[in-house]
Amino acid sequence: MIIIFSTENEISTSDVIYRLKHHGEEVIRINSDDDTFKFSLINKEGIYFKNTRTNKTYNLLEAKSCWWRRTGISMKNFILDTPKEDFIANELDLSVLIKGRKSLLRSETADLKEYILRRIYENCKINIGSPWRYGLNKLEVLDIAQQHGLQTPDYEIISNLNQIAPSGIKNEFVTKSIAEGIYEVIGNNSFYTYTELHKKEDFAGNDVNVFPSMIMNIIDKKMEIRTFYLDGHFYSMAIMSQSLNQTKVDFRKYSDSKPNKCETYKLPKSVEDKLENVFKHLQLNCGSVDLIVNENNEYVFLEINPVGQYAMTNLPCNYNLDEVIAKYLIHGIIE
Amino acid sequence: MKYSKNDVFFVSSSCKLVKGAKRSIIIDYSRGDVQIIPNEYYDLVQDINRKKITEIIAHIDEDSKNSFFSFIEYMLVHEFGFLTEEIEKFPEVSTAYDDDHVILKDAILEVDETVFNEEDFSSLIFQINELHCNDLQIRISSKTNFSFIDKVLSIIDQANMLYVELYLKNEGEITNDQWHYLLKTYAPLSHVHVYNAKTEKAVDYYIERETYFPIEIGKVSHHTLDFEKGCCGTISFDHLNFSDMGTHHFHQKHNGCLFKKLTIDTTGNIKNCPKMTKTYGNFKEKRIEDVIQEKSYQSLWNVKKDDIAICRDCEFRYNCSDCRAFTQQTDDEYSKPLRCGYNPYTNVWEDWSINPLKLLVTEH
Repeated sequence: MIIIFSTENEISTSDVIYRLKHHGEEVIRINSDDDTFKFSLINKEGIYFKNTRTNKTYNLLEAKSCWWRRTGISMKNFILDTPKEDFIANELDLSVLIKGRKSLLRSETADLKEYILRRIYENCKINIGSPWRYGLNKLEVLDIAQQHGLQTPDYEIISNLNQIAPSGIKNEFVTKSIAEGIYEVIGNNSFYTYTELHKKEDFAGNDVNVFPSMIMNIIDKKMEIRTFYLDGHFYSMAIMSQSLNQTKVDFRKYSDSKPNKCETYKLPKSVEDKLENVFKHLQLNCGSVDLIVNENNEYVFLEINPVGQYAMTNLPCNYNLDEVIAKYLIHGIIE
Repeated sequence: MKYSKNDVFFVSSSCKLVKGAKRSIIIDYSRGDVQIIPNEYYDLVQDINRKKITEIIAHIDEDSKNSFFSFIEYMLVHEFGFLTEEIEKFPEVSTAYDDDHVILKDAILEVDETVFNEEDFSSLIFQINELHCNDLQIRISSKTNFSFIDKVLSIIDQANMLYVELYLKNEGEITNDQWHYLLKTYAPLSHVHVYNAKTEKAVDYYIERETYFPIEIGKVSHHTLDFEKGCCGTISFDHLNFSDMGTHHFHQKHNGCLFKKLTIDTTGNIKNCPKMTKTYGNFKEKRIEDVIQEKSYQSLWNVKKDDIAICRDCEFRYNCSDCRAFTQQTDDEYSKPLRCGYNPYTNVWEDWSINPLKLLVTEH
């Protein structure tokens, strides 16, 4: 039995499950956003979840391997319905106890989820990903990458625009979010925090307090590298984003008419070794790495996404990663 | 052209070059683009791919150098290829096509309301679902009727299909609201083709939700072609695939149409294709799983384009899904598809149905 924690519309999860089923494996897919699996019981023998479609109950501690792909367990897996009505007792509005940020259900869910994931991960010798490495801190990871000998971009975090001119940052710089950034669709508009290019002179003489904001040296980019990492193996792709002005600073400003070329790529052994040390430091065996190759052919580390979309590397490079992941979940090795 | 003494030229991972009898093509799968080049340039690319520019030009006549450089320039401008000083960092893309986990790739089910049996159809869908088949085509030969289509789709909805398309005749009326209802209610239903229509038209259907872009839920296309004659086996430039490299690799190994395909006719007979007469028994008496493992059932699965007469000389051979039901020589399984009007020896597309030689075969 193999457990995968994911979300309903996560296609890579489905692709891996097709292959696991072909190899004769029983797969439990627990989505945080559908009603299929519900918590049933925790006792001395196990942690039981019930498939509400088949009415079959499974002891999750019988799993031999697991993959924390995405969110996985949420309140939805513990209760039948999220309370919508207000909770009024003796004319007192007690809704705050069952709804919202401070509700009892929320804190109970959090500890249950933590315990269940911990027990399953301790129990599964073979596992991919880690529920405890979801929101990696970009600043911390940059420090760790540097410690392991990787080149990282220089940055400063300012609180007033007048700090830009005297900063050690070069005249042309980019702004970046410190955490994940915005990814929202509101009405007919999408909002993303793109990496944007600025010049120091545009901010000269501006004495304006701002929320702590990251300014980072622009890197003269030759190409971008996306690498999918799994247990010591690297599957890399070069994105030739320099030929088009639109994608020069941020390749996610996709061009429909001339999408960037994605080439199969092999990182130098020395860079792979350093990256592997970063993953080991983070106690993570899987993730997607963003790097830039600069004009001097140096590799500049940007960040690690522990739940990145590997399909974008898999498709153009034909790495057959769904099968690699499926085999890893079955045998715990990469052939 | 600017290049350094260690620059190596290589063809992009996203591009394939294919040589035909008279000309070659470059297919750029990342941009859905196809360009025609002379065969001499195909040969040239084979000679120079992954080699140093300086070494190549040492072997090129002084007179040819200009055209050589302008061709390389053309390849670089279109990003069909790149220059690098570190070729070891750009390994060639694998041409592997791994679909071992797929037992059935797609299935065509012919249904007719006048002989329809709900219980049989449910058991058929159950069997197909067990074989992990995700793509389904339903061909309804009886008069079009909303409640019947609704019933058929509700049975299919019990299974885990990812894609369902409907083929219908333009008899009986279904309103736009009814199509919207069907496309919205049955998520896998994605494309409806209505044949024998008075005019060619296509309508896209959307759902609108707050804080989301309108989501396309499906398309209803009307074709003036005849249902019986039109919906199968025709090969034209519009049918060629230039956007999925996986299909290219697939066509190099298997038959693009029949590999892992299943057809069940209105009476339950198991066939390779709706237009082929051979049947392999009835699904009510035999397990589909067993039938598709039979050697005879799989005999055409690996008839590749490289095996087929004329097609093997065609520059579009890996972009074409092929047809084994209608071929120029009916007794030869390696004969060219009848309903293809392309001649790779003259590079002319013509209407297949007016070719006198083919008329003779059709009459037979």
